[in-house]
Amino acid sequence: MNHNLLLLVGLLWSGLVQAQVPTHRNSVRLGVDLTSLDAPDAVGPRYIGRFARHIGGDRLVLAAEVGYMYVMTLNQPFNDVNPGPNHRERFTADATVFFDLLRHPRHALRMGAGVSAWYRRDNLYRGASAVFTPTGGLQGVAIDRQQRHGLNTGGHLATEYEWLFDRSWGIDVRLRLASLHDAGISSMLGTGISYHF
Amino acid sequence: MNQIRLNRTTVVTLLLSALMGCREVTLVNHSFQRVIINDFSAPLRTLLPSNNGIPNSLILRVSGTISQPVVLVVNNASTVGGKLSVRRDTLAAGSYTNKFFSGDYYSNEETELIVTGMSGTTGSLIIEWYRR
Repeated sequence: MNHNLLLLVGLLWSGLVQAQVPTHRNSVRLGVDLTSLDAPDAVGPRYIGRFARHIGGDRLVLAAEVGYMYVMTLNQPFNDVNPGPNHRERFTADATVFFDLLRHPRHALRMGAGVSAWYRRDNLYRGASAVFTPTGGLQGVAIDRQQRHGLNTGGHLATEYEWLFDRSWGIDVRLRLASLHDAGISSMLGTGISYHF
Repeated sequence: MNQIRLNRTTVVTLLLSALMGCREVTLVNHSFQRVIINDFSAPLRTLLPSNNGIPNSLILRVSGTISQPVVLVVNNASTVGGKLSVRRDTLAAGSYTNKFFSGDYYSNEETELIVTGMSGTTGSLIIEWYRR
């Protein structure tokens, strides 16, 4: 009985809130994406801040976001010598145009596309070789690494679902795919919280 | 609604135009090698492979301890008609922490490092070397 009453109150409150949700023109969002980079084990969190402009009754959203991620992966020892970890760092900037498929004041299912510019700083282990003395003893080890800094640009596709649980506050889940030329294709699965004003 | 379509078309056109101009801007791309030597009974030879791009300097960074002088020789290994020596440095006996040797170097061809210890040299060295 208590559960039914609670459900009824919840539904009434939900409808009331829905009716009261105004259309905001701007939003800011903080989130985190689990992001894959150019190696199978290079997966890590990317922290994101976003500003979005909602136009056309919230059907169209223009979003600009910046992000940061750092992934360190370990490598196997070579002849008992640690070759050092791989370091991958990204400073990301993305601009996206979204279209909302739902005509609903509290729910949004957006599809979008845009451009990406990611600055990468990589320091990667590329291989190792052992050097032997003429008598066959291990004389030393040579570890080859590569350092690469550069700006990669490309495009991305994005989809996200957002639920406004309050007049101004929303939470979301999203899926993105970015193609960044030499830096490869990155996929992202994330969530975030946003404030609309 | 018409206004939305117009805006969307404009924005998509701008995005596609921007994408067509996309490219990669590489600021740093160099291979480096960390050589760890514990045995100086014979000269140690190692190669830094050729790569794309033209460097402007060659840098060696040395750390470790040695009981006798050790000679570092860098050769351009791909020179036609024999190796061309690029530089030669001598490390006196003692301990080193991030001691740098650097100089102008413009070749992206295969480069060789030879480390030769005097007779009876003991200890160990870590040499990190690269073109930049």
